[in-house]
Parts: sequence; structure tokens; C-alpha cells
Amino acid sequence: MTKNKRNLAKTKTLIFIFSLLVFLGSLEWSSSSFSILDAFEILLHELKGEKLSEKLITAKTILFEVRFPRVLTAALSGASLGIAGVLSQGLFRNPLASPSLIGTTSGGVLGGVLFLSLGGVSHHFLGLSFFSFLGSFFTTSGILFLFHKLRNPDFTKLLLVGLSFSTFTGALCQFVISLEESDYHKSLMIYRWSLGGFYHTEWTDFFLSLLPLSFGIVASFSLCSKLDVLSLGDEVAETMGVGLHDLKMKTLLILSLLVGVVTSLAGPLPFIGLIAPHITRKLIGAQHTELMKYTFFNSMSLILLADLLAKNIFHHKELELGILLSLIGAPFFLYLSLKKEI
Amino acid sequence: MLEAKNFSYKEILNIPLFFLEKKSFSVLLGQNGSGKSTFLKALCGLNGTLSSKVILNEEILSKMSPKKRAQSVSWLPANTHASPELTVEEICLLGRYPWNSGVVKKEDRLIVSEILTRLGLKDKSSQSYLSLSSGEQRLTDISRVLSTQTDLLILDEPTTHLDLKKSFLVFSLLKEKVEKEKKTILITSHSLELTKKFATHVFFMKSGSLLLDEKFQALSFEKKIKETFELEEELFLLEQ
Repeated sequence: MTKNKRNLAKTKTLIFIFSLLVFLGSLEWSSSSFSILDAFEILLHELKGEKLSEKLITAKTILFEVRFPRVLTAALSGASLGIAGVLSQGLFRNPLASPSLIGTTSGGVLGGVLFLSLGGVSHHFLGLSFFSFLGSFFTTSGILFLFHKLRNPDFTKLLLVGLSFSTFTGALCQFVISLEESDYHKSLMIYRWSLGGFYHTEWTDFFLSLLPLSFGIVASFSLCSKLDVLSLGDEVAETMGVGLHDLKMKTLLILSLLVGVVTSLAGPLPFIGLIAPHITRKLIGAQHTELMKYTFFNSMSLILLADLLAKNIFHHKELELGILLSLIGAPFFLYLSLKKEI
Repeated sequence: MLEAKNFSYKEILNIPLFFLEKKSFSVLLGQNGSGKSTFLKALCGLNGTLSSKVILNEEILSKMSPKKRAQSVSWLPANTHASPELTVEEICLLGRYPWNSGVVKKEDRLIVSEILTRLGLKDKSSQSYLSLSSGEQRLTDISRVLSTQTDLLILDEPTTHLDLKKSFLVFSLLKEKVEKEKKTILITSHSLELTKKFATHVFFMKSGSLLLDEKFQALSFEKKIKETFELEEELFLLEQ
């Protein structure tokens, strides 16, 4: 092995170990004072059939009913958003084209808000995620369609198109929420959801999202080699036997599935799909299979770290994860887009 | 090998008949904007209306399966894109996609490695595309197209950004592919000396038409150039 390859192998191992540590750390550090060791003690007692002490019963509830589902759901959502980022960047052939900047996320939010206001119950997962999926799909397709109509499509124009779509769907969301003013409880619920976060996550959320998200992730990997060829340009890809329409349609559908389901679970969580693939591309390279594999781990670490920060940054109040991610992500995006200019 | 009939497209192209012989190295000369790139693209099947008028190995191009077409003809555009973080080797391995559908085998690596050696890029194979000079990037693109190993290669100005020595290297490698591996190659170029030295056939294009009439064909190479490029005071360019 050359030095380069050895370094790459080391980096890959470190990414994996880091995400494992963050995962265990998320289970360990939280606002309450129970540790992951308590979980092992509980398991040990249960296996032996011994009765749990009062302290352990509380620990069991907190660990198994609150912390585990939250951490697992966050990890799965983060991984999905990171992979969705790789998909949208491959589709638009631009490393900055992440779902939150091209309107996929805001489309999903609009779909969700419409569903909730049309009378959907807050935890009706299937309906909510279906509407979010539709919202994401139609917004992204619209943007892709317009983008292809442009004479000289470049990233600035993509951003402008994305911005106008996001502003438009954002205004529609606010309009729908404002219609619910008389129902204080409902409008607060929709508003809270639109801020983004995992504070109400339960086991049902995890199990219901497990199937569509794992399907989306596995299906994403099947598109990797075609996306590699697409990076050479539409026309070259066509002469190399890649069915462009088929590839773009599949990418759009899977991208919208991943973003739609995560949005319905936790509201909009921006910038994961920008930051995690960016870091991975710098560390591992741009070949899609490898990029996707390690974006999976990096975006998991990123969301779990952000969630930990959101939980612990204030003493008495939890900061919404969506807000925190915007606060971190916006300057990061500014840095990336101005890096070459300054 | 390849035949194109009734090629007329908007005001850009008007070519009643075009024929490429097997094992030929043809160069298409013409002014900027004369329709060369549009013509090459159409021959690769990238123009929906015209691809039904191209006959490749006795098969209509638009009726071939995408996979078979990709295994028969490869194309180098005048301007290429590639992810800046991809390495030289990764980009060239993409050239093998029509054969391996993305599952890279040892054989693919051997083919790529041999071509990279020939074009002097072997020790840059794990460098990123971004870190290369524009000439090296062009050589990478050429290596990628050669890696596909199709029988017909259509290259749009392969020697852009290349210095004299590298241009010579590319032309002589292409000629070798024609002679030893029985490839058929059509390129556009603005390098007259190399065209004269290596091409087996030269086509001249002016405002979307090929100059094929007998009167034109009877002219000397220099006179053809003078006519095609409408040279006047620049004539000294042809003097050597």
C-alpha cells in the first residue's frame, strides 16, 4: 500500500470510531444524571430476574423510554439527511446544492404544515411523512425542471431559484399557520414542529421511520456509480449509456423520501446535508460510494453532537435543534461560498 | 464504419452525405462557429433529430441500446466537467462504465494504468483533478475516453491546453491506435502541422457544410486552408 492509501484507510477507521464514540456519548451524557452503566445494570438485573431498586426503575424509564429512542432516531435521521445531501449534490453537480438550500426541505415543511392544518393529528406519522414527501418532491422537481430550462445554469442561478421557492413555500406555511390562530393549541403544535428537533421522539417514531429510511439509504447506494458518471456532465453521461431521465427521476424520488420522512419526524433540520458531505469529500474524496458510506457516519456524528449541544446549552431550556443547525450552518455556508472570492 | 445522410439541422448544419472509413484517422478543420462541435455531437447520438440518420456498422444509431452505443462510440467534448476531488485514476476508471457498469475489475485498472503510462500521467494517478494543470486535466479527459476502448472515437479538439510536445504525443498515440488496434478516429483540431503529418483524411467545414465538391478537392492543402479560413493578410501562417 502506498502512503496515500494507508492514510486514507486510517482516516476511514477514525471516522467510524469517532461516530461510535459520539453515539455512545449521546447515550451517556444528557440532562439527567443516569449513565449508560445503569443501563447495563438494569439489563443484568432483568436477566437474573431480580427486582429493580427505585432508582433503577426511574433510570429504566429515562434511558429506555426517552434517551434511547431519541438518540437512535436522531442518528438515523442525520444519516439520511447526509445521504440526501450527497444525492442532491450529485443531481445538480454542485457540492453546495444541499436539500435545505435548493428547496427540498422547505417543500417538505409546507407539505407537513398543510397536513397538520388540514386536521392531521400530530403523531400520525404515515400521513405526515407522505405529505412532506410530496412537498419535497414537487418543490425539487420544479427547481430541477427550471434549472434545466436555463440557458447557462450555474450555481448562483440555482441558489436564486431555490431561494425564491423557499421564500414562497415559507410564506405559504406562515399563511397556513396564521389561519389556525383561533386554535391556540394546534398552531403552537405546528409552530413547534416547524422549528425542528427530537424532543418528543418515541419508539414508534423510530420503528415507523426505520423501514422507509433504510430503504432510501440502500437505494441511494445503488445510484452511486451512475452519479459518478453524471459528474462528467449530462451529455458525456448520455454517451456512456446512463439513462439520464431514469437516473434523475430515481434520485429525486429517493431524495424526497429521505428528506420528507425526516422532516415529518423532526421538522426541518437544515445544513446537515451540506456540512457532512463537505467534510467527507475533503477527507475521503468525491467517488460516490465511498463518499456516501462515510457521509453516513459523519452526518450521524454531526447531528448527535448538535443534539447534545442543543439539549445542554441552556440550563433550563432545550434549544430547538433546527434553530441551532441554522445558527451553525449559515456561517458555514457563507464561508464555503465566499472562500474562493476572498 | 459510419455513414450520415441528410444532416440538416436548423441553420447550423447542412450535410447531404458523410462517410468515415474504418481504420481512418480523420481531422475536421473549420472556423470557430462553423458547426464542427454540433456535427460531432450529432454523430455520437446527442442530437435527437439527427441520430436516426447516422448508420454505425450497418445499424441505425438511434435504434441501438444505450449500452451498445456506449460500447461502440465514445466522445470527448470540447469542454469537460469533472468533480474537482476525483483522482486521475478514478476519472479514467469511469471510462470503463459502459463495460463494467461501475463494478471495477482488475482488468479495468490495467487498461487505465497502461493509457496513463502512455500519456505520462502514471505518477499523477492518485492526484485530484483540481490539483492538475489545465493541460494535465485535458490529458486526463483524453485518457478517460481512450479507456473505453470503443472502435470509433470522436474527439472535439483533444489538444486544447496542450503544449507542442503533448499535442504531438496525443496525435501520435491516436495514429497508433488506428494502425495497431484498428480504431476509427475523428477529431477536430486547429493544429495544421500535426494534421498534415498524421491524418489519413482531412475534412473542411464552412458554415455548416462540408466542402466536398470536385473543384475544392482538386486544390492543394494550403489553398483549401486559405479558402476554409478565409485567410488574407494572415497568409504568412501557411508559409512554412
